[in-house]
Amino acid sequence: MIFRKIVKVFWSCTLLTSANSVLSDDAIMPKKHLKVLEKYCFDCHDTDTQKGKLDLETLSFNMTKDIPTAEHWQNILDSINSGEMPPEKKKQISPEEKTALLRDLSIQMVRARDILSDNGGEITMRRMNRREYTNSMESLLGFKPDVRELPTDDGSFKFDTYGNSLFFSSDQFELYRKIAQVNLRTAMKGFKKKPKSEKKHIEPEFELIHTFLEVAKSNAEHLEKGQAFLRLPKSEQTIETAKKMGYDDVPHILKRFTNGPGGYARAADYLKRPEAATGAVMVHYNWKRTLKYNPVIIPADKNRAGGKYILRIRAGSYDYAPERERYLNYSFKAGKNQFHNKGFVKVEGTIEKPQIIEVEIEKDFGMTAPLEILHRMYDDYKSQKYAFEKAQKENGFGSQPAVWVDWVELEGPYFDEWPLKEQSSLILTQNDGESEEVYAKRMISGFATKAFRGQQPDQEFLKSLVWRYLSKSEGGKEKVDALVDVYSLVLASPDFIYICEPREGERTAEMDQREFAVRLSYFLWSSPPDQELLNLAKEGKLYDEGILSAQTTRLLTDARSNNFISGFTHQWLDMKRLDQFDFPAEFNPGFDDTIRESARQEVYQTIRYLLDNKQPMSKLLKADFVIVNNVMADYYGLSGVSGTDFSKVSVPESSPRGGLLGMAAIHLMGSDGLRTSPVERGSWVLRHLLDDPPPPAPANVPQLERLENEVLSTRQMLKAHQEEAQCAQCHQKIDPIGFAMENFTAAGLWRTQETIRVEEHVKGKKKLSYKNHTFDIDPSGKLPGGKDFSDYFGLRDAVAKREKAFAMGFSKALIAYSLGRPYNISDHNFATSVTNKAESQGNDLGSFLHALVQSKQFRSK
Amino acid sequence: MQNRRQFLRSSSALIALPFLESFASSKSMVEAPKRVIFLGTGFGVTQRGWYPKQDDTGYDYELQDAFKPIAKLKKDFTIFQNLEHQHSRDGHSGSTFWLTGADRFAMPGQSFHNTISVDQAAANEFGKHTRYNSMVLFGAGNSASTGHGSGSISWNRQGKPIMGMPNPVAMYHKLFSADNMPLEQRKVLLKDNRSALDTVLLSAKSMRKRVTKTDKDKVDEYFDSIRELENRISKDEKWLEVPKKKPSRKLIEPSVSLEGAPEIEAAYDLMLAAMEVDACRVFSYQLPGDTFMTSIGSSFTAHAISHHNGSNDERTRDSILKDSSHLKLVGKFIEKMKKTRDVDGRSIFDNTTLVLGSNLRVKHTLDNCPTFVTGGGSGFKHGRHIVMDKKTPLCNLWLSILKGSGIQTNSFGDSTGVIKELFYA
Repeated sequence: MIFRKIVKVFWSCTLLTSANSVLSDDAIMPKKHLKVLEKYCFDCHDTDTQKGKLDLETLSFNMTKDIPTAEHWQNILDSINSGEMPPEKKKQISPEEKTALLRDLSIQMVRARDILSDNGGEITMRRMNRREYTNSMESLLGFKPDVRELPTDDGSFKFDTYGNSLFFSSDQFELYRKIAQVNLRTAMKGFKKKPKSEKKHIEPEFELIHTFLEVAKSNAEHLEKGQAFLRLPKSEQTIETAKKMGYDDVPHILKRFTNGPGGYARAADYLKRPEAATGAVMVHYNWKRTLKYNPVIIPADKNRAGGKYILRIRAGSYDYAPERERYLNYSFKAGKNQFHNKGFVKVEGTIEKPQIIEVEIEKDFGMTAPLEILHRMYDDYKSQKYAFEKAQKENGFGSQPAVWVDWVELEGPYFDEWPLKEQSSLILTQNDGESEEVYAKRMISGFATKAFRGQQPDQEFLKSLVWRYLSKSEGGKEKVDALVDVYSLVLASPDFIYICEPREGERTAEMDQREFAVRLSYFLWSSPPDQELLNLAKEGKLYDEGILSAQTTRLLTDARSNNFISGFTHQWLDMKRLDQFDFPAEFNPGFDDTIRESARQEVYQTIRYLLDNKQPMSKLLKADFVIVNNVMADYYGLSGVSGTDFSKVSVPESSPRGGLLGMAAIHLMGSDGLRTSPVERGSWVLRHLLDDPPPPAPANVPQLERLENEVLSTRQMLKAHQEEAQCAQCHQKIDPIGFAMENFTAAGLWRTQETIRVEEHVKGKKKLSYKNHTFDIDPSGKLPGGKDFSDYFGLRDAVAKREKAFAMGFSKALIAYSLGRPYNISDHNFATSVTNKAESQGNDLGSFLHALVQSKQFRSK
Repeated sequence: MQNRRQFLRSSSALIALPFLESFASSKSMVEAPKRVIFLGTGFGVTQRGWYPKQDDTGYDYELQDAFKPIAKLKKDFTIFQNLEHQHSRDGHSGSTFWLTGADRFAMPGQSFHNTISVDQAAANEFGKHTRYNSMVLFGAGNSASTGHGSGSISWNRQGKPIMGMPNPVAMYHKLFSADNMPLEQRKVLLKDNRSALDTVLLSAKSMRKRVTKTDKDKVDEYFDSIRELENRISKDEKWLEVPKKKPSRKLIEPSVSLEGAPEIEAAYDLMLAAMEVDACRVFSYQLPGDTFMTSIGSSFTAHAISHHNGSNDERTRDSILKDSSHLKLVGKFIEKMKKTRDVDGRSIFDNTTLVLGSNLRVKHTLDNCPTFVTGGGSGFKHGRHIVMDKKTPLCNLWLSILKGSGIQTNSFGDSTGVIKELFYA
């Protein structure tokens, strides 16, 4: 009871401080805490003693006074959090005082850092990040280069557009030059002759799975022989008989036979199926992803040229196969565990009535990799083994095959145009009577201007490039090599690598329109501006409200805007965590990387849908529809979706799906692959939906070891957290949100009970045994400063009501991403105006973006 | 504990620190070069399997489970406790600040800042004598979910990350592959590279004229990079006519498909080979994570392992297995270094300092960084479990290694002084 009261008091002070934050320019520690410091800390840290050079008596309560002051407060925060202060032998701070002190201190600390790092909105010139670099290269070459060698820029900062955080090193220079050389060569040499389009038809029973068939046949033989051997009277089961049957001795035949009866039985089963004679039964021979054990179909050798291909598969699913397994995966295998352009198809036809599935796939230029087709299976060895052995235990056989493939056809490559217009502008034709020098200058200058997004190269630089070209091309004989050399220098020079918006003085100024076009297109496309945008800039028309609005709409309907949706959303919603854990099938049956990928796409595609259909952003908080493909529909148990494309499916009010809170991606991010983490989920909601981020988790907090061997529900375990004053101050706010999401498993499926698997160590037994403990889920909770709710639906409604806060948080993220610098406290009015403008226009994603690009700030440098 | 420490304090107050060189070559005529090796594990270790009991210090202490594979080498190494970086609060960066100790918020208005790493501080000196200043190896790729953090384990003078080689094969070729190109042609190539740099500098210069103060810093970053490349070319020119040396023993080119433990073993072998022919004296290695787990028979990712709960569950057991497997590999490396004679008649091991560790302890905890030190290169007296005062800068160890290896400097990062205990038995 007492506890609750205190909590309420704290919330009211949080509200007060956050209200103050708009007015005050400083992070101020409330004076009332002086008493606590006096009582517990002054013994050692007053002006007289100053132990550890810390004098709390004179330390300013204005944490933003200067950096040393902020550092002092950070140290105080750290040492109280870690339990180091007050020292063990000294009087300890009471839990109430400690919670209150730490709450204010951690909140003000975040503010202090923000204020001290507020540089008044100054935008630093920035290097292109890896995404932008790839797209910029694509705009010049016509295809995306392989950039895996470059650093990812997904380091420890919020957005990969922050100029300050995008460093440059000598290694990078060399990589830029090398990547440019390799890909320019592909572009100029590989495109001299158009690759012939070919159709390759494969009947797998004759061609590609013969390795597998041989193994299957030999295994079936072993099985037969072994059985025959065992049928003999005991007296005849001798070494001589074994030798006659082709084995070394009796153990040999028994070993061959008994080692894997399941495997041999499967081989025999395979050959018995009549459809195996006319196609490939996609059997789970065992859990290994190798040609020898699984019928992998490879319809194209690795050297086929890059471009578009049509893949046709005639296949059917067995009637007994579960929905989840009726899929075929395809990918280009570029190396050990390296797969590109992964995709999948669902086989809706049956064995009696197979269907022909047709998909368009793309092979990257310059990549050597064969195309592989394989049945859908778990991605990690352990899960594959687990699923297989589980099935084997049940049926003595192992996983049943789900799909049969009659034939496969691959046709291509196709090209929308040939030669690609990008490539034809790389080498120009020499005019009659044009000197080598003039010709080279025209070509290099044109290329550089395009690479520099409409800006002419420096004349000295150009001269030097032309000289280099002339000395290398030897009168035109080595033209391509010489061009590769000079172009690659253009693509490693600062005017290409950096997005530069030079100013006259130190003051902010309005950008010129070319610079504006560049900023706009890197914002909405993560790619350089196209000719239309550059032309409008040249004509000085881009600052016209109507024209800018029309251009913004055009950019947002272009396919390149998907770069913005995925690039921005991934970072805005901290989706990095989606890839950080394994989800063993043992704990998450049915979950695999196909779902992980589709779950990620569900988030992006939902935003795409909202953008295209002018739906309010608040639909992300609660909606009566979901945007899913067949994989997600199968996973969620929804019907009415066929095909791998994402489409809209209505869901009733009683469905937990609809809105981010119901998306598997969000639940996956809020777990560690084994158990759910209400802390991660709660913090995520506060951070991304409620614009009320909790302070960063303090480092070095002592672990709760008291509970180490107890079997507790996740909720019970976290309740214990709240006993510690250091933890309570934040977890009281975070955890109740996460509790309401406990109805979702670690992998995002709905549940009403939590099952925890605990290892049991039985004495004398080497093999581990497990015991399941089950707890009913208590999803009740509350939002900070809000009313209690009893379940997940209550949480969803409560969050949906705070759409204003959500919109504000969204504006802040957009500002930071688009301007390439962290959101500053001094941006408050700017964010408010974007939010209000968007609201007056219908609150859809487009309105936010229009409001932002029309703002004065967006055209300032 | 208290007494020993008091004793050390009082004794060190009386006796000045001995000169480091006197350790190195007291008997031999030829002075052998000093080398340093830094092996970063990325994510931290298992509390239970790694750290000896805090009250069990000195020479006669009990090793925990993870150290079992190298128990017989106990007198050759030191385990530290309570070393940490005061500024490092980044719970996902096991290597980013490990060798630097920098404050990522040191620059107002910037969300990331770093300074030179200890291996590079050593490389700037030792590199004067060898073909390569340092060998940086990335075993864990450059993704951020390896526990190593963003950027690199090695940071140059400007605090910019140094890109590592992706695998031991690359290291092999750099160190030992003979250049088949005729000398004249190589000379021409270097000259051409130099002129390419001159060309892009023209573009950088014109940009520098256009921009304001803050942006000038960015352009300067570009200039610095080009200058560094020029230095590299100068060095290449200097070594152009000196053929690459190979150790007399048979050296096998590592396969590109090596992953995890065998990959690490190959890398250690190459480090030894490089030291034998004095091609390089400084090595830093972001040890593989996920592939390492697979190679030792665990099915968890390195990140999942870092979140073991500390009880007796599968992840915790695999986490201890991970720690002990790393130590086992280092143990093998130590044995090999011991068996290899150096130019001064001692062993390579006697002239090398090797550190294995991370900026992370367990999960996101950054205090009491796991720190394992071995080798005689810095004149350290090994065989102890040393529990320092809480919050002793890890940079004190880095400084001790630099000074111990003969580099004249009085501070590194946020160091407050050398760890005197290390120099006394």
